[in-house]
Amino acid sequence: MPADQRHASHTNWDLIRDAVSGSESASTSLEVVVRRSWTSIYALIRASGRNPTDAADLTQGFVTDIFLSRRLLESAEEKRGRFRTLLQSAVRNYLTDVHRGQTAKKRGGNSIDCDFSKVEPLVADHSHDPSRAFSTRWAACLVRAAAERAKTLLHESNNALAWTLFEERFLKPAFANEDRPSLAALAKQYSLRSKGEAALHVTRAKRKFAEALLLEVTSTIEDPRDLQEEVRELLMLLDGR
Amino acid sequence: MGDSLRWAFELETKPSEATANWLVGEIIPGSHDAITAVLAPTTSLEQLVELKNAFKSMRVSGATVGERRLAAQLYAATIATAVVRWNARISSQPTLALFDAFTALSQDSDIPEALRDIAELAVEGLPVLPPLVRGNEDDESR
Repeated sequence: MPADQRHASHTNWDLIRDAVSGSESASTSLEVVVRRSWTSIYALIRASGRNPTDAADLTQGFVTDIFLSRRLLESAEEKRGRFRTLLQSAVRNYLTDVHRGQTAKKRGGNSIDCDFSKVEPLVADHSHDPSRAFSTRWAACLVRAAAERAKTLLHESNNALAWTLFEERFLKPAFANEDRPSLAALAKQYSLRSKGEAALHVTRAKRKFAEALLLEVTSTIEDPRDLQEEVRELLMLLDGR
Repeated sequence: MGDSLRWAFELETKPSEATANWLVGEIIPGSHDAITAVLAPTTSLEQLVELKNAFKSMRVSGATVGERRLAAQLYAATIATAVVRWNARISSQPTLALFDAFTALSQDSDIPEALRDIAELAVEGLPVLPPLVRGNEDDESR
């Protein structure tokens, strides 16, 4: 099973704490945090004016020099606060250092596989505003992490059907901007007794997803009083505003 | 995408009501509030039956005590609304059990007044209620 799936039920801060703890799972936790973050890093670098090739190289550079060397995570653990603010600031500083020629050109050892060709179409539209590009990808990654977490938990509790119906009724149409299938159609397709039974499955998954999303958002802020503001920003980012 | 996710954060602001509201929104498209939907004159008898069956399950499977309690209240309220608005029995529970359930609901000071009112009206309508609508059997007692 891929590391991302094994750690789907962990928040970013859980993983960061583990990554700097020196535990047996530290390397895996670090890799999962990187996998959750690198598309936002790439989006910011692309939007700062770099072409796709340079942006991919700089993203790998940041991941290797800053992330995998644990410098960022140790700093994050000390400062807490909003992880996305810290990460964004670290990427900007890195780009400045690169511009000044203060980073090593050769990198060896640690790296991760990043499929930049898949991300490029998602970030190309935001190339005018680095901060916005970063935050939009960040918001999308939070939603994805919440979805993975909810899916894992529902499968573990023998509620796989709830996840399937939620995916069909909500997630796929939302991402593809398509009409939702009716409850009656889903009930028939999955041999359920009634629309109400289908609604119960969807609602059960909705709850798990909402819990996961709130946990993801909460885990990226230091003060719980910031939650409402963070949620408001997240929704605006996802709306493209 | 943001608009289509707004519902998820209702779990933070209305933890006990969110799940019931989502459930109702699935069964009656455009509805955002479970109590309003149960009481609405526009809610059809067929929809009340769907809601009743869904709340019946949720009063057992709800994730929290608050969710289960609300589901139980809404379960009774859907049956009461069918009595009052449609002069229909959508539960196979004995009349005496329904009488007790509606009476308890009508005297529950923790629920909105509109729910208490519908329960009170349902108590009055019970004696002249026609037999059970076929297909709405409900064997469990509360």
